[in-house]
Amino acid sequence: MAYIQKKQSYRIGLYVLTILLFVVILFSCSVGAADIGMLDALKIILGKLPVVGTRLNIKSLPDSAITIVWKIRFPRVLLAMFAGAALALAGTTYQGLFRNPLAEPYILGVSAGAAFGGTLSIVFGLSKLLGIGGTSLMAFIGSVLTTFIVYRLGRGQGRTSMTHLILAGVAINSLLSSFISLMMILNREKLDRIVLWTMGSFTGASWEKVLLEALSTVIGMFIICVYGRELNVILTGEENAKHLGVDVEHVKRRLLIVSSFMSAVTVSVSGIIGFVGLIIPHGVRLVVGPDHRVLLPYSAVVGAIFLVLADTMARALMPPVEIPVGIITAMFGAPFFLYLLIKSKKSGAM
Amino acid sequence: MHGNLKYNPLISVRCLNWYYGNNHILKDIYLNFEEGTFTTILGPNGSGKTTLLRNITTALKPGRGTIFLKDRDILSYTNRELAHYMAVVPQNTYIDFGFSALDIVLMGRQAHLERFKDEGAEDVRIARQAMEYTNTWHLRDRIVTELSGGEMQRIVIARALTQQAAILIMDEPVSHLDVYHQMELLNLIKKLQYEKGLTVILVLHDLNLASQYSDTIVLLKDGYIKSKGTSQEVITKANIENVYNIDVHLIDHPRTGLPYVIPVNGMETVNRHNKNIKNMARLNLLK
Repeated sequence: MAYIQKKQSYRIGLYVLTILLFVVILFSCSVGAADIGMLDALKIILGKLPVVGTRLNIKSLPDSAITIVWKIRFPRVLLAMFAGAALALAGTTYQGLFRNPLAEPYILGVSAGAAFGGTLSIVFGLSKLLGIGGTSLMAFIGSVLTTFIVYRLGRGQGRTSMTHLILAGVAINSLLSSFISLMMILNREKLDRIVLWTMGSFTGASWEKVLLEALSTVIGMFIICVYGRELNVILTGEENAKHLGVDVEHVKRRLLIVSSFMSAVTVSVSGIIGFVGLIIPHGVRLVVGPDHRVLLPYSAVVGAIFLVLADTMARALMPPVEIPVGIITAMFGAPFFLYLLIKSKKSGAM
Repeated sequence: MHGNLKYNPLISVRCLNWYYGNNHILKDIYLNFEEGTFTTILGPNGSGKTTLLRNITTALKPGRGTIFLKDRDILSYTNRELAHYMAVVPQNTYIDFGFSALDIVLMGRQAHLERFKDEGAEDVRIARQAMEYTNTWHLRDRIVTELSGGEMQRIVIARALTQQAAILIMDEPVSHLDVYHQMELLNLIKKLQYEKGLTVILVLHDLNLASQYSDTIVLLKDGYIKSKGTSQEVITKANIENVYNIDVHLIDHPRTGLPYVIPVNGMETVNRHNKNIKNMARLNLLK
């Protein structure tokens, strides 16, 4: 069935997923050492909102619960939500642009650059020098610079060659990895911090980070979704797309910049969380098909749900130890993905 | 031509030259494509056929010279504008993603759709008409990765028709189809030319198909235009033997009366070998 014939059911599906996302958010806010119910969590969150809040009385709840939900759990959940959406969106976009199901947000050096910047800041103690956000800032600068270099290397004669881009990304990735390993070996006392940071975590969530991540994700999502139909046409080949009237160079450039920026912001606030940007778009595609007008919004919501759940597990599975969320995403994501793959092979859907 | 009545071709190629590195691929090409005509570009491998076609579709930028579409430099058109004038069917369309056939055909509406609009009922009607025309409407819900080569080719032509462009450009559309599907496709294109007034520009390998279907044939050799004109003017013993470096025998096609090429190069030798092989087989049987 064509997209336009199923538009209505796609829309309903998106509503259902969005409701599910809200439930998951409340659930995640209620999980933890302090026992707070989902309804109380809802009350606390609504009570803090401007208009609705004045009509709601949350005085009856203990102050500690309010603090835990509003200052600790909720910002962390929101950060995971936006990060999941951003990574899934960037992954979907890259997979479409490169026409390669193995493309992911880190393919152009975003993660290697961020890890390099982050490692530099940890090794040279810049995190203290530049205040709390030092490592994030350095990671952001690192990933933006690296992506820029890879992008310049992949461009030639006025057009962007996707093969060159990938190869340049691979080369720069391994170059930076070698530097990072060298710095780790030379600074063994800081090894733990570097490794933990690169594994990704939402422990350091704050409202400032949430705001930053929300802004970049929402703006990025809007821009990317505008190009959904163009991405479909590009999937059938770049020359085809040109003949069908798509300004391929313009679309590629804009989408590469937006999704790289989105990934860079995400990596700098949360570290390197692998797998979300790879399996969410791919898994969603197995279920809803390749049309980006469906795929992009679905991936965003499913990515958000997935990462919120993964982060909830990260902090709740073995308290008080926090498992890096990147481990969870791979540990639970990979088997689920394999299940989808086997299922789709059996039904011949791919 | 009378008085001040100005006459201009739809597409006009003026002194086109194209280089690949130091190789001079196209040399001083002058060509006009008239509205509503069926033109085939012929020539041996490496003679510049596809390069010429891809210059016209602006997939390549001319090294020197200009191509005019409706008296305007073709490079000054945006992709979107160009898609309103010409629909291009590439040599091979291989789509590795699970779109339905109707999804693919509706992509032909890309250049007609506003940014925030999805395809409407009118677009579906146009796509349906195109698919009925190419006999593919029954395939609409099929996933394109499951279609055969011939079906896919017809889907891509339906997509081209959905563009509602006046010019249809195809690069070797039949080279990987069997003889039945070759005829089916070329008959369809001829019908489009006749019924919808399309201007058709093709690259073909098959001299005989070109001879039967084309109004105009352009014969290329080493990047030059060796000959252009009607089938009778271009498909001559002298031209073919010169350009393809083979010996040929020419007859008239029994139905169309148009030239039909029979290559005879080395056929005496083949014939002798065949006879000897048969003789050897007979001897073996006697043993």
